[in-house]
Amino acid sequence: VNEGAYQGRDRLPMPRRRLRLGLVGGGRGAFFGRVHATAARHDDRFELVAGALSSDPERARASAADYFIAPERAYGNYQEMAAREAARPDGIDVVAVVTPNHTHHAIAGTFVDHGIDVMCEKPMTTELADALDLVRRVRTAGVVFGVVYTFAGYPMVRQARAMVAAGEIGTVRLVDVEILQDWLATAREADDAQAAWRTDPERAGPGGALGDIAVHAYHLACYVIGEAEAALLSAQLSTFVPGRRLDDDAQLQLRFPGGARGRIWASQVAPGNELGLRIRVYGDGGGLEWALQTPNYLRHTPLGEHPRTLGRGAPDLHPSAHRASRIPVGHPEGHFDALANLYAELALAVEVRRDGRDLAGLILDLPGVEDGARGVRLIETSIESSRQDGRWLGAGLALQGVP
Amino acid sequence: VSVELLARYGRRLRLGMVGGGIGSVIGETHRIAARLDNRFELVAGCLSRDPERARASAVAALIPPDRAYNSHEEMAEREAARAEDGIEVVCVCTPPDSHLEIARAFLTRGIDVICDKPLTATLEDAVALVEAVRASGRLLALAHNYAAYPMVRQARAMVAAGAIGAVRLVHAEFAVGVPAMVRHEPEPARRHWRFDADVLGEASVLGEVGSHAHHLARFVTGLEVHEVAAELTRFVPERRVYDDAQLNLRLADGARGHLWASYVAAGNEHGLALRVHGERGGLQWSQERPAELWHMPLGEPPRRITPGGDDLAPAARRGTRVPKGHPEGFLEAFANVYTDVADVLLARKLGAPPDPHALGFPTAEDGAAGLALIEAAVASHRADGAWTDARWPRPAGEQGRRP
Repeated sequence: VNEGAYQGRDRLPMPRRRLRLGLVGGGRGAFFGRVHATAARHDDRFELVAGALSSDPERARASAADYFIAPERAYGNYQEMAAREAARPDGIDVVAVVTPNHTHHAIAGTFVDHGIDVMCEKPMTTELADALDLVRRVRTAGVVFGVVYTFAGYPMVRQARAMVAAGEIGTVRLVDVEILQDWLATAREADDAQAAWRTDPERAGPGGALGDIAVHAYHLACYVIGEAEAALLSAQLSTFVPGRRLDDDAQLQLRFPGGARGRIWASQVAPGNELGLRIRVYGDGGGLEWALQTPNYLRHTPLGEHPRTLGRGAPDLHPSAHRASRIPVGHPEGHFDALANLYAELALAVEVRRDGRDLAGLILDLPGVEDGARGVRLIETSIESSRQDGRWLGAGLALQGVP
Repeated sequence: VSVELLARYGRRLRLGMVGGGIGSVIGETHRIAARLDNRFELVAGCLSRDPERARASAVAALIPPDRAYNSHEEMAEREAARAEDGIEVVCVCTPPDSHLEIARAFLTRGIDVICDKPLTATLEDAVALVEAVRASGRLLALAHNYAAYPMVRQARAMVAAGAIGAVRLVHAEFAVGVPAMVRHEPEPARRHWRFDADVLGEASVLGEVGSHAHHLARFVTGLEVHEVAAELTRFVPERRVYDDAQLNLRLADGARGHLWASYVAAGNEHGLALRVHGERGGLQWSQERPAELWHMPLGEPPRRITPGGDDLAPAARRGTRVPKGHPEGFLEAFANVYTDVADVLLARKLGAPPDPHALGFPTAEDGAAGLALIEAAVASHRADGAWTDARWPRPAGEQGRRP
């Protein structure tokens, strides 16, 4: 490795102590809880000290040993965990909610009401009313609330956002995001627990591909072009696998307030794609292209010139990309590093709030509760538009009425 | 990766570190790798030869002041004397000419070692370290981290299973081309030790990057290098060390190969890649796209093999943490070395059999084979490229060809 290219000087400041993290979900048999625990420890900013790891109290307690959680802080349910941790002088600073979608609202809301900061998996809730309720409660409590749109943590995505903001491709005209998978191309939900809950409207909510992956694509599109949300959308949803109760393919057209047009294609039935996420952005002065399968590179084409490939860790990137990068160019970073970048920003926000300082002055890339609500709004609007044969409908959150 | 043994052990392994203070990329890399799968806790260190830097580095690494040492000798002695909570493993990431002395100080006190590469600066030191490891009954794992990428493990398993038939051709290259490597650093204080002939000899390009390519070729093919014909070049005239090495190889079983190690492949990033061709097909892997292994069966279309499938080799599955399509990178591969070492140590401490797929990490013997190649290459170059015996250990009674 190359000392000269070390990016550490640009990293976010470390908290004075390791922040105490709790985990809801992630027990034996679950999957993403472990990913969160790993990402949180990646940069040594958190120590996992408490959990309600399963809705089955026995499994919750048994799973705690896998994470070195002390028995008295391995809770049988999240309500008890929130109340007891809030009462401890050494209680958790922040909780990660990594349960199935239909439980996010109740769990996250409970911790918010106890004044505990939250990192919540996407989609944030299964109903827009619940999402707006969370927005209100987060604002009332003044807590930090992060939503896990992990792709916004990739350094070259941040580079793309910074280049767009700096006018390096001119005024944005077009943004196109694809997020394609093939794991649900067959009726796998019959014998796969992950597939079962993600295709079950009771647990996943009303969106299939919409809720599981299109919300990622939507946040990515907005984040890179610097728009908070789309103004209007038109959707075509399909369910290709017989018997499936949710969409497994979603094609959306978007109109942004600033005039840009967008397209999102989210599919779970596209053979050959494990997680084929790609974003292309075109302005009047050039284009940008990034793909998850080569996440350390960003292709930039200034109009009329040869395309060039920018590598993560190269010295001339924007500060926001540097800050999110750990190792030199040519050493690939990936999913854990990106998720750890969200956790690094979460740590900074948590510490600033605990110090009684104002969060408003922090420029963070961590997606917030409003971004979570915008994703839920996208799901509901898309379903309605598709029902109305692709009619253009308002997609904005219209938060003006929310105190 | 299963956490069963870890949960049974009930706590993380206590890790110490020598070298790797503030500003050291390799030190930060080892620390992240050690944390990633939650199997180690860094509790002691001698992070720099400069006492002030050692102290500041310990603070940054959250090491308690009474366990921040100024010499590795003192650290080994005092940690070994802490019966209840002394370190169980030490990471040595100092320059290679100090590895023998430091590693031996810990091995003789019963502390296992994870050592950065190359193993030592000379073959003589390497052989002495092999003997020290054997006498101690402890393990020494060598951080040839690139062999721990899941798709490299998959390649090894495919070669062993005969997927490409008997190996004929092996081409390994590690041709670096970032400015910090290509350009001469005029200020001696800022110059990396890799350019200092006193630390790693004139052929440091072979120790620094060539040794990785060599290990990768041996690991994937299972073939040792028997003879080498070398051409070493110094392109940057101010340097005392060679900055390019081209090695023709004769390997076991009649295979032929080439190893190219360079600091001056201007425009390359990190530049590590491997191609292997057998009687019935080929395999190709490049570190900058680490999740792709190309399998080219003779007469059929090439196939792209990626991590996460149930059909992959057990060692490849063991080195993968996230579902298909989520990129893992350099730090995760590095962590695979740590996790394998941890699981072997945990099995030993708990009296359980080790996972056979955790035993693939490089050892002191692999390091000695690397030093043997380097010394043979230097001898060959001095004899104008004469074929030179590179085997270690040399079979009893065989002189081998020397110039």
